[in-house]
Amino acid sequence: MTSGEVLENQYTERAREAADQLDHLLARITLKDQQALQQLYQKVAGKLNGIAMKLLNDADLSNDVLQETFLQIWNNAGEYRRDQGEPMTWMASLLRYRALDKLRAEKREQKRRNQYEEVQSLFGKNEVGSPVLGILQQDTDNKLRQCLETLDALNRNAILMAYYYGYSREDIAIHVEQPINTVKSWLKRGLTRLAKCLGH
Amino acid sequence: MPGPLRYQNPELQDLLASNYVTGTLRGSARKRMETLMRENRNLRDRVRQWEDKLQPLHSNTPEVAPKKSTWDNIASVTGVAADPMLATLKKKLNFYKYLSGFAFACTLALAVLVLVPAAPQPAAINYVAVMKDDNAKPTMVVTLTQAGRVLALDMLEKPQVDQNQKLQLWAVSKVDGSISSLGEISVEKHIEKSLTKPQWGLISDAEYLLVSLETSPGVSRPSDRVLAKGLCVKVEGWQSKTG
Repeated sequence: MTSGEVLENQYTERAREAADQLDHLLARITLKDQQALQQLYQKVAGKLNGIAMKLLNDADLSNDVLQETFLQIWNNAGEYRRDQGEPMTWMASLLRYRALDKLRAEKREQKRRNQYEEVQSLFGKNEVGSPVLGILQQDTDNKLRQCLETLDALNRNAILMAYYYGYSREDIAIHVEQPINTVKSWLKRGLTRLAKCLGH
Repeated sequence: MPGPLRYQNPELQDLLASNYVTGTLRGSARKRMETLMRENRNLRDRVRQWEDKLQPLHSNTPEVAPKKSTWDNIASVTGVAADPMLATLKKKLNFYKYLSGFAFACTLALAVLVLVPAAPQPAAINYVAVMKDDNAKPTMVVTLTQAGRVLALDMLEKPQVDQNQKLQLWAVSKVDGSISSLGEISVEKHIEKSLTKPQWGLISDAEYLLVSLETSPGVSRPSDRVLAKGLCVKVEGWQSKTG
């Protein structure tokens, strides 16, 4: 076994232990264990709030969404099943869908001009880095990264703007100054190719 | 293709699922998708696949510390003590709660000893769990005897269980909170079963036991329909007289 493989195994083992801990906490929350909720909050609230901030670009709204998500976890932890996904994926999905609802309710989709600089880095227009670029540039073993790399840059960036930054199709069209039908085609083509590459 | 059949098309399902997860499905289209997902398991599975595949994009997302008020609000709704002093007080109150549970178990066991005629050479009980429902009403009593590793469960009230449902007994570890099954139990006034050695290990490690209502056999964790739950209290020198 190479040193790279050893490191990868250690990373996988650590990731599994972390997921096991979250799974146990969710199981205890199903039984309305309040200490477990507090422990879960201490472990994941920062990360979830970070994800919400990327989508909403607003500290008040992201904290609102975080709060709503934790109450949803408190009430619905029993719906989580480990065999259907990792605990962090389940919680992040709950949060993302709430954030997307909030985007619509608050009609904030046109109010994100100061985030454009980071998003523009996706298109290679300047040198500003972003966490998504970090994935694309560094994590060479990641299957998702490999598949995203095979996509046309416009298709890929449209997917990232939607998923990571919460842009609607209309927002993307405004940002890249293209007709909305063009953006729809990018998304459709990009997602279809991504699905094939990921082996759906 | 008619509406419902149209949604059986795998390519359409995948496109809908990917648009739902990336967030480009908005407004009424998003609501329609959520209705479809409730009825269509394949669609739900595809959504989960996409959630799983795209989640690594968040691995480098920087953490952002939430406001203090966010946890305070969550704590006030869920009843978690937000203030450290309150937490300490709650711990002390928990001690009395455990003590009262223990006292109830003692009373119940003494009542059993007094009311039931003596049987020859009864085995000593090692653990007792008085199982209560959501309204804190005792509905079952579990006693565990190390000799022969016998688990006895007495139902003070038989729960309503449909034909396709089963009761399952679980042990919740006091060490790491993990939940392990002790197997299915039938709906009878008195049940006795022998535990394996690993199952006895779960008992000695248990903070509390619970009984859940399950529709699928062999599940790895309880559903959210918990019928009864009780602290697993270690006792010494009690004699089993139930049954």
